[in-house]
Amino acid sequence: MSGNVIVQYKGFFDYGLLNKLLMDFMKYVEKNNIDSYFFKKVQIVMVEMLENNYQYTHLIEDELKYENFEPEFKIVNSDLDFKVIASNPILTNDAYQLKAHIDKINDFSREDLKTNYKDTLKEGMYIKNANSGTGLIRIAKVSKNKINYSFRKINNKLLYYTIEILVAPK
Amino acid sequence: MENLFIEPTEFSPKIIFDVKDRKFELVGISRPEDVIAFYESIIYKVENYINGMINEHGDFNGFKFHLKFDLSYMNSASSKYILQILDHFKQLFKKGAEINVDWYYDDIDDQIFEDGEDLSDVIKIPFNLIPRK
Repeated sequence: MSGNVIVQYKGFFDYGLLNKLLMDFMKYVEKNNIDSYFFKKVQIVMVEMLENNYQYTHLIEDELKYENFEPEFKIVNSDLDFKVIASNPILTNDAYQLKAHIDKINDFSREDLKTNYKDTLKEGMYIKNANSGTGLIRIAKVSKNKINYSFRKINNKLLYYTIEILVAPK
Repeated sequence: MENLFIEPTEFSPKIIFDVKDRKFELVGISRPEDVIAFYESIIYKVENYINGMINEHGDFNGFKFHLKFDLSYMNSASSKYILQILDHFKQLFKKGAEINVDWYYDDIDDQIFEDGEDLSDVIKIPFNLIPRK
């Protein structure tokens, strides 16, 4: 992959690690005089991706005991843009629903994405889960780019899911 | 009912709920480690207060409530709980109360500005979108 790797970590994430990676990225931002508006965009994408990553892997941690596929996160700088990439194992059964969700988000126009975000917020207001299902929609909305993804087979039960999003200054 | 005050941390906002002055404030960064645990007690307090007010007063004409949201960052999980807080106040809005929602942002390009617009649309209460000085 071309570009400079700014932040990278391979292993299981948690809240403390998310904060550490965010601090690492902030140091890079300060050193390179990146404007705060652009930083905030990358921050939103980064936090939503990492929260999705560790919340999901904690849910299926029993399934991952004997597997060697660890989650991974990185931010790669390419010209003026940042590519934010996150990977984690996922149950094959969950992958179908996730793929359909991302495909639907990628098919939306910017206007439809905004409408869908608000509809999802409204529908999810009183559901029990911590998140109302808006994380990926917010990532697409903030970055104004399509979500690239792939699923690689680990075994019959698990796939290795990678999500990649480009965040540009404007 | 007693007032509520929660000190801010690096990643969770300051909360002030002044029941006597009818003011609710949420200020800072909102991405607490356990978002459910953080917001649950606040929502419980707001819900009890509003149910009590409804039992006590039938008509809310002339009642004013001031809600202030001054956030520099919020994650999508927090937006769900902020909506729940607003939804409880909306019950009073529907009964004639004036609900004044001040939503602060840094820049018109800022995501927080758009978050304010989106939450206002979802909850159907007008927000005063105020640039932070």
